[in-house]
Amino acid sequence: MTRGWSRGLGLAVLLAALGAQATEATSPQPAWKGLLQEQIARARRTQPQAFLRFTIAASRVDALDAKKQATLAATAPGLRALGPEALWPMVERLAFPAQDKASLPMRESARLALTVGMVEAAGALRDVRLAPLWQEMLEAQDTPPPVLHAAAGALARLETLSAANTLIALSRQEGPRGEAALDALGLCRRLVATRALADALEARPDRERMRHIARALGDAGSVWAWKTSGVKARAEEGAVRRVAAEALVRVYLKTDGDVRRAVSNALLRVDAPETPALIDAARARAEPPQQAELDALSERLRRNPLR
Amino acid sequence: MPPPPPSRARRFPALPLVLALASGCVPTADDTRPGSGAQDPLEGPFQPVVDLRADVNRNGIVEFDDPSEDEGEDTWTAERGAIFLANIDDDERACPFSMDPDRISDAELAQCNDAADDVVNGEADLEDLARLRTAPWREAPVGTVGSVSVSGAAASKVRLFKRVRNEFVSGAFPDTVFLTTAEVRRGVELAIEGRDIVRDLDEWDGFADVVLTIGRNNPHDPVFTDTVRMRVAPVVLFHHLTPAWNVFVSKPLGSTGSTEFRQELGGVLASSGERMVYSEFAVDDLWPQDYFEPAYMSMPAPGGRQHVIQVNYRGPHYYNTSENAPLRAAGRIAFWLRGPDSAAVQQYQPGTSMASQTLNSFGNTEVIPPYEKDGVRYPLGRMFRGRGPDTRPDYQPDPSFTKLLEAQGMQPPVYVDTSWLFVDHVDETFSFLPAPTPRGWIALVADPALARRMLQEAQARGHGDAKLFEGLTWSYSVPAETRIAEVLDNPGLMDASAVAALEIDAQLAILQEATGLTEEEIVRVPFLFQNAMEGVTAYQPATLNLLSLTPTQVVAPDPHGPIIDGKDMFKVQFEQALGAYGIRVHWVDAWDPFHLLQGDVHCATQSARRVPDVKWWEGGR
Repeated sequence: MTRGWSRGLGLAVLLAALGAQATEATSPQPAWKGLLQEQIARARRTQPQAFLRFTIAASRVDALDAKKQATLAATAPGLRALGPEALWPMVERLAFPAQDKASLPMRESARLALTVGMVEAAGALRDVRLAPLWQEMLEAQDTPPPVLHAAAGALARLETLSAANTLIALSRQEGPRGEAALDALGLCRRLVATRALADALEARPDRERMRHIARALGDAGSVWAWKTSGVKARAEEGAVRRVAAEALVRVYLKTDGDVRRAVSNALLRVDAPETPALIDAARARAEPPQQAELDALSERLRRNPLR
Repeated sequence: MPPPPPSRARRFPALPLVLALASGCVPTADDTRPGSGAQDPLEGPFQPVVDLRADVNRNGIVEFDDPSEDEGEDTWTAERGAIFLANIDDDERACPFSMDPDRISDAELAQCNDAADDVVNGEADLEDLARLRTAPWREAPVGTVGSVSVSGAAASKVRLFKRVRNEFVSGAFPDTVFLTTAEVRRGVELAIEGRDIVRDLDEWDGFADVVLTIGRNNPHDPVFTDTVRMRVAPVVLFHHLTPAWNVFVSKPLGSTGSTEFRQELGGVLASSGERMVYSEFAVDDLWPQDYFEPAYMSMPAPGGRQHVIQVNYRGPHYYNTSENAPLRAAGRIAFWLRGPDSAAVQQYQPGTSMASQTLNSFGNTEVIPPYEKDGVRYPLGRMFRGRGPDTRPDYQPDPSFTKLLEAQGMQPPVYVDTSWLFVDHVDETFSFLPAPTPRGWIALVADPALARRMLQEAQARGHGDAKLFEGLTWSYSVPAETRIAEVLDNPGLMDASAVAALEIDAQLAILQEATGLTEEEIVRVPFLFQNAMEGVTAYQPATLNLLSLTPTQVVAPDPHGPIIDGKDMFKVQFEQALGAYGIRVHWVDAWDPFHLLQGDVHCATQSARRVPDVKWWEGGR
């Protein structure tokens, strides 16, 4: 890159950032957006460099997209690494999309990757003030499926009862929105969400949905996640892991193929203290061929690589 | 005395031969030699010498004085059976090439090769043709005619040539050559080329029954036939037990990190003590492991050698960018590499989902090295491929390419679910290396649980503040360094690593079931995983995502682990684990851009390897 071009780029991203600011003021908005706008304005005053750093980062997404290895460029790890001060620049982009297309990545796949990355990175900061933003994205009719998944995950990671109940309601819908909410329910790590997942599994949905629910129960009860200090509803840990394990053991014999693998993996991931007893009880009720299948599960649990 | 008619020569109604002659095709043989027009009395019974020979005993030459060339010639087994090649290289470099699809479309690129015309493209091209010969029948009476033909599904997949004077020529019908009386009398030399590889067993199984037919030019007379069963060579993928001879990397514009990586890798190759070609492709795609894959096909050559055509598969990534360019652009490199004894193969099914395209990368098709289990031998190993879950038919590798790979029949696949990974490739969690063990190789398996234990132990010994990724940055110049204690207390990292540990456990169970691999034959490779959209990906550089250079040397990504007692604890672990098998690790820095973009050394490289001494035709498949 020549120096002149480099300077030009810096000016362009600065103008784009200013442009984004200018468009905000004219949009009608609900109260929560006003609050976010206040936070953004405050952040602009106190941490202007964070906005510039973010804008420069966003301007590089086209290059990331061009060199991606998977279908979509993974922008979240880099955006997460921008730290907490990147929260409001990202929220500004998400809540008040710029009308000026010059500030956006040129390629459609890059724009999608940036949006998903911003939702994931901002969601990882678990700021409850963003709950209405995530909910709005989840409920909007034109939100692409990858963004729905990211927004549902961001809402779930707030680990609040309100978030759990919103996701439970949305998970009952058909289509990508319902799937995204269902997939994210486990990340709430709340008992109410775990029970909803257990009920959904008990209803014997189609195999693909069962596989997703099993994984979500693994998210909810994940023993390694519960061992970290950041989990909020500490008092619910035992119940969450027990309910998850009960649901998974109940359904185990009714599955096959990759659904059974998902159930087995989730059971090991939860690794609830009650699991061996649950398997023994199921074995006592089972016919001999199924007893052998449960023995195999017990053996896998005994060799659980997470222990 | 002329040899008696072969015992397996059979009498058939004359219809096929007569139809062929009635078709207006003019034999092109040289009938001007003295005596060729001699008038022979039509006396006595018609007892023709009907003997078609090919290299059934696989010694690289076609012989009449060796009975083993004739025994069982109409069957094809591990012990015997003639072979021919798909002549799809470009010996005279006549095929046009451009990276620009507006100049040559993807479809046009694939249409050009030596088998696309009906001539022999020079001396080198002749080497790619398998030979056949008809035995002379010197007493053939006037009016005797013959043909050599291929029927059935193979008819449209081969071309036959007949030697006329000193040239091999093909007639109007690719699947048939006609023999004049003179040619029947003196015998002719023939050649056969495959016009394609096997792509779909439902269309063609790769076998061609080549039939010599001799009779009187009279539709009411019976004809005599002799059949030789031939098989087109399959395309075989390389495994890591043979050394690399050509290492490929991409050379994108404006990527400082990749330039440094290439230079560092070049230094390693130069210092390896091995003769190695180092090839750089000027494409804006960092992942040569994904966009093409070197392979080979071979047939017997004199002296126990194999005559080899290198084959480069183009990745079947259906991006549907334009009408001229439905496939991932960098995959065109397979055609750039096309030349003498180097072919390119393109196969894809339009309309597959965009999300599933990453499953089509060749980093998601590896090869388990050779082994035997329960009396079944896999002398060229088995493909090891990632797939989507069985509940997602729309999220699987390209079905037409899968058919093609499986139709080769030499390396039956083992499939594992890789859909839980962000990039979905088997080379993110497994690798195979040669080792001086009874099996001859070891499996390297990702083990995030081991990584967590190592970090916990380091923390317990008072190293919780030791830093990972010191001095490095993430994508946006953001410092990447972090402390052991922070990593272990990060719920996202821990949970992603737990997901990975259990999915890898399930993958490994499938691999062990297929191979009988024991725990002693597995090297656990520790690194943690992180969430990335709807999957997980390596958080620390995946040291098993490496380039195997020779049986004793690998190039692996620097793990940038915590420095404890002056040493990177992850480097120490890996060097000790591989050192136990006599394998030396060359470290290179793949952090930026490769690790930051979810790949490491294996993903960033590709390699063509020495053809194994084991011959595919001896494998019993």
